[in-house]
Amino acid sequence: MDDEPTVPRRAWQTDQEWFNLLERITADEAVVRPRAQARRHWWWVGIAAGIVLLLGVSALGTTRWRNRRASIETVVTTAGQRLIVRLADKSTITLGPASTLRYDRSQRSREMTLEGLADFRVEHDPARPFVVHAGGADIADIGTEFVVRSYASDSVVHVAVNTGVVSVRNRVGDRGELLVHAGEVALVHGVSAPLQVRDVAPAAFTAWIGGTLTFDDDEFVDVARELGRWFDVDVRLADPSLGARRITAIYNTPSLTSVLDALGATLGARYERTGRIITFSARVK
Amino acid sequence: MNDRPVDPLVPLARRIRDGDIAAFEALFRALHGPLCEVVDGYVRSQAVAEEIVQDLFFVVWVDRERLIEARSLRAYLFGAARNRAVHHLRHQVVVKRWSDRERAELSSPAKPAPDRQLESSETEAAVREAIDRLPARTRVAFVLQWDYEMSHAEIATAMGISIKGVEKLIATAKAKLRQALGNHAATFVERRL
Repeated sequence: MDDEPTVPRRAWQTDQEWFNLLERITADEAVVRPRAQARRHWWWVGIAAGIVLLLGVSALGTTRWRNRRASIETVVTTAGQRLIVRLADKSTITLGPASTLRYDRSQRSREMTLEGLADFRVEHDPARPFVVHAGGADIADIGTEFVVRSYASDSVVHVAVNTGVVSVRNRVGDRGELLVHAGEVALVHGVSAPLQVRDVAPAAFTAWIGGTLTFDDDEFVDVARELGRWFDVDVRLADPSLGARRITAIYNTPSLTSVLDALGATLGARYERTGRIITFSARVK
Repeated sequence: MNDRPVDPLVPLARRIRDGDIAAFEALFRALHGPLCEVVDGYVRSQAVAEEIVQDLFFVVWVDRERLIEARSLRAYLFGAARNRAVHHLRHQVVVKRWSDRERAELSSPAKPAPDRQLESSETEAAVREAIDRLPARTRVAFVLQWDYEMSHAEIATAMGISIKGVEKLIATAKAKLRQALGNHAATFVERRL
């Protein structure tokens, strides 16, 4: 009936609220989704919380630049940071500390560039190759989880395959492709040197994802650099001779102090800490 | 057997799981009002109700891969909304010890949106005012039927009570409205239901 008055509903701001929600979602989308990772690794949540507590970092501090037109996203982690990037194709990338990943958010291309450390869990699609450019290597997945380690200070790009198969090529020159299988680690020296494969427990390359710091017969100079990436500190050697000493160790979600103490004991060295500068020197007898 | 139409939300759940934002928007638009009403029944604040409902939808989207089967999607959302509302109130109890202002806000009835009220005729305004003065749960049950044309079963799910409980609340609402509005407006209310 026309003369019947209609009482309006209460004025819930549905349009405005939807708009606000959409903003929140799109701000969250390309970024960090620890929850998604936690689904596959339920233990990750606790460890991740530990990492954040220990290292006092959060993904919020991450720097991101966006180029909207090309939808190229650059994700940068600082020392001590780890973060998870979820791509639209459901591939998941865990970016290690002090690393940079550039990728196409629109996924018109599934090629990306890595400097540093990252674990890739790829939703395989033969029609759309997933390629990582890292140092002198081009790495293409063939249905896989793999870790790429390519810090600027490393002379070698490591590609450790956890599941599936990865194809590795030199960036320059055509030495053909090297198929790297689960349980193998490919080493790429420079841009065009011959490719090598080593049998290494990939766990050594994936432990960092869960917050475990591992050294496998590494020189102390490299250990010092790695500590810098993990804890945002500057580790210096007062005695250069310490640098060549080799370290093998595993630390589960360690605190900086516990690692420094353990290393000091192993090396028979002492350290002094002033702010973020830590100086190791041989113990005076 | 079941002459009720299939819940239009059923096909949405799978699309949302697959990341279909349009399906998510449809879900949001379908349930935003009713969810806000239910939450408002607890928190008595439009701003807080909308915030709680937005947080809920945000979590649903972030966790969409775990979205449960569509049949219980509605029940899940209303249940989660009620939990969040209750949680908010518990938190408020703590906060209240420190702030009397909060108490005043909580106990004062939510005000109808002023702009919409101005547009309405006198009867409309009177009805709306009477509805707003109903006890919280009575009002929520009544509004879900009145404004959102939800069935008693749907209201029962939304409020987490039995269908008998819904019928009782709505009967109470009608009685109170009749008392508050007198015959003319009360007849209008009756006809609408």
